[in-house]
Amino acid sequence: MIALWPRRRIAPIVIAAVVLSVMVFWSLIPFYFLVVVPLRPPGSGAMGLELPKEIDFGHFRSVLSGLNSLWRYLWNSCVASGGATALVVAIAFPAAYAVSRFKSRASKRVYFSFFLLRTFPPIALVIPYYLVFSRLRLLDTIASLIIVYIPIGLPLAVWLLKGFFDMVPSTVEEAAKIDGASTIQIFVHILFPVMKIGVAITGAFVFLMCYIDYIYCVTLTERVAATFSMYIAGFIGDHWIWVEDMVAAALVGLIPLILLFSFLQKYIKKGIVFGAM
Amino acid sequence: MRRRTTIQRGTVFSLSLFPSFGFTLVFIAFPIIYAIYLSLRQYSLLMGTDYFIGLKNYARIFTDAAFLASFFRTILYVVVVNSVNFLIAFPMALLVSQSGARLRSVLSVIFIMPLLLMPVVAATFWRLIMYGPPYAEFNRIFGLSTEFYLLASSKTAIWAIMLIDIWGWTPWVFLPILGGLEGLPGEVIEAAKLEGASLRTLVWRIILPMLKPVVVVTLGIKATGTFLIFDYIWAATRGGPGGTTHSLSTYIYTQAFQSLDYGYGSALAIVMLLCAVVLSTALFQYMRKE
Repeated sequence: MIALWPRRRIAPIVIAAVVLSVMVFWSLIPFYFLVVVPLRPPGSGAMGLELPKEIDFGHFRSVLSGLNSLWRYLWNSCVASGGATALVVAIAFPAAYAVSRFKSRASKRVYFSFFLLRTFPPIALVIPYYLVFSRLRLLDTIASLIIVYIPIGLPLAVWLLKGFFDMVPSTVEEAAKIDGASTIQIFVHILFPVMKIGVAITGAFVFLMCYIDYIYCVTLTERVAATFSMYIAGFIGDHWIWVEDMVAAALVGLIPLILLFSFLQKYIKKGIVFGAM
Repeated sequence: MRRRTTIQRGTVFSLSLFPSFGFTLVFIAFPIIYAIYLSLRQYSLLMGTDYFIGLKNYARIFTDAAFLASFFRTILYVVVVNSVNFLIAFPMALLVSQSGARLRSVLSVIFIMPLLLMPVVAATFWRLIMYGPPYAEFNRIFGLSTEFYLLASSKTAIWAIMLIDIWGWTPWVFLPILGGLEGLPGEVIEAAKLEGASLRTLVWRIILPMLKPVVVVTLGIKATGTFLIFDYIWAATRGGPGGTTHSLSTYIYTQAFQSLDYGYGSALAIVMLLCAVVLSTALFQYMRKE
């Protein structure tokens, strides 16, 4: 973007630098504690901004191994979110195609209803889900999580994929149709390869939205299928001596999200994925 | 011949939508209908009752002061969080877009870092390390007493939660605005500059009006999401102290899963659902106009 103010004058540069530093401080300060707190030796009682005098990995050891390690929870989160993502993208792909390619009134209505579904309060769904699942003995299972993540993911996936279909000119399919390809063949051999990156982005967002869920897992899971959110929230109410373990776990839990966001960042900015929030 | 192709097109249209319609029917429509059914019953595990009472659950809502308080608190929460998000994200994006290439990429990474902490982790971390004694790092930085637990006082708790939310979700507003700024036509700004427009005029009269669609859609979509707020509040305070931090979602949650009054909880949830539908319909109309 072109310069809005003259670069040779001191005053605007100083003001900009000060404002930027405050914003950088604001964004990063919790991360400072996130890294430093679990590195301090257990029982050192050190607080505040001072750097640890000696580094100790005891807190990491206790969340990475032993009875109360984070692996099972992280695994549950990934399986539930991954399962839901695969399912949701497979269902949403043809639906987004229909909404993008057909310009009828029915198509517009369908599009609008998917938009509405995105803003449905989870609390309205979780009460009936809980009662039905408890009757079916599905509480505290990964399967129940995958089911309830469908309403989170489906409207979002249709919305995003429709945007990607809009960018693929329909001439591609028409040419294939003239050559005698069936609809299924067009989907599998023509559309899916062109849409690969769009599907990947959509999948990443759906995964993210399921992964950060709290309301469903806090209601429907307890022990066996408890997710990473449950693991972290479980530190609350324990003796405060375990607080540093929670921070160590939170730091390890960043890894999947770092991978996701390093892939997504540039697409969020391009505005393709406006609806993703 | 022509007729046959239209039938075929129609078939492809319905077949493509069939799977998602099936899933929506079973996993969204059915639960909602079941919730409406529950909302018409006196279904409470605590009292051991389960019988039809018509609209009495809905009538009870109007006399439920705690629910009305949560409703207005949720509105306040949405307004404050989204306005502050914009007030931070817009200058952030403006400054980043004005920086040189290298500084810009470093700053973008720094400013989206809060996204890495998912809501429950952010809320738990802020609760235990930033606010909670004995750490209370937030208090140390701002020179408050470390004995003063912001989340434990009914005067400050909701504002402290809003601060966590603002910290965590500003990147979601920052990124689209930065994208919007970088997409603005340079000639218009250049022309205004040649005519001697000051920075303030440029921002207020040129940049903000051109950016308006991006801002409204971003904040609009975010507002419909913030309206459902549950995770930050539940992980930070569970609605306490004394119910002063309940949002609609957390209040309904306690009615259903702590008071075990599934009938009344469902009635509240249906009312909230209607509010959400009205909000998002209004937003959709606006987005179509733009």
